[in-house]
Amino acid sequence: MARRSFLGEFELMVLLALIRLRDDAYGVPISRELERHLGREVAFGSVYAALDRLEEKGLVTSKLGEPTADRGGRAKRYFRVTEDGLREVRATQRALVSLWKGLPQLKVVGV
Amino acid sequence: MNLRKPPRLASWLLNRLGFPESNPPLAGDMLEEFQSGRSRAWYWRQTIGVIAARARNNARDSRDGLIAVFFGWFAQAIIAGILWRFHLPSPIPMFGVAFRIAIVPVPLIVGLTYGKSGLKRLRSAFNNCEDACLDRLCSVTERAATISRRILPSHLLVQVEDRHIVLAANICFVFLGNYCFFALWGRDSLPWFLATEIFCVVAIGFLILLRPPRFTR
Repeated sequence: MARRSFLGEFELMVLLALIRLRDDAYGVPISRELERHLGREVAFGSVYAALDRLEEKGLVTSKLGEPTADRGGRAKRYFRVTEDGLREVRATQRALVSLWKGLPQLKVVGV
Repeated sequence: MNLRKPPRLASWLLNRLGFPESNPPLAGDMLEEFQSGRSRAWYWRQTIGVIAARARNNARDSRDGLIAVFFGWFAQAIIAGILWRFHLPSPIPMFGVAFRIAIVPVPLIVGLTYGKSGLKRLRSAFNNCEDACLDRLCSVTERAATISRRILPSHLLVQVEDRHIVLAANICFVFLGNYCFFALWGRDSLPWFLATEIFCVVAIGFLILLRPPRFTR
């Protein structure tokens, strides 16, 4: 079987957030989207580290927007999922769904 | 527009130790969130998170370098302990060794944080300097300059990799640490300790040479 690298849990979440946000995917909305679904604070450092790794793997691309005054003259960095990224998400989804199927009902003690 | 100002020290740390390549958008994102009502504590937490994420990334990229540095430090600590035990009896013999081991994370963190970017800047400065020299040479003899330009970058700058920079920074800190150590305790065994350091530098050098390069320019 050919070796391939799988997406990490956080990388997958970031990719899914990018897909949900479509054209408005820069640091702030990505973090808010993740926070909304995870229910906890997300570190910008972790988000950017994951995005940089995904860009290195060719799963996302980024481009700089215009600098704005309310951001201290700093530009936004917009991210977009590539075709390879979408393929990777689908492959991960298939693997997870397949693993999930046939599992006995999970019971958590005390819940 | 009346903008809230984020903690000055946190901003300074973010600019100095944050991701250099994506820092402007990242700092902009943090400022935008801060302006939307986040607390100063949030800004601090995010800054620390950015620095930690960068250190993690660098550690992963410089794994071989880290192994070499740890090996060097460990060997040095053992030899220093032996020398201390048999040649330099002290009222608190293990204190020196404990001190040396205790400060291991300091050069590692500083080396990982500044080593890579500092070396890249140095390399780029060297390239610029070389270009300037070659341009001058060009006015004397264009042919010699052209040949030099082709040969120099591929032969003088070969194999200078990020991990070498990290190691060099760490070795500098080892030497600096020793000088501080002897300045504080006033021992007369500096040659012995310098010999130990030289041994470690050679050992680290061999370790680097034995391992295949992982980074490209």
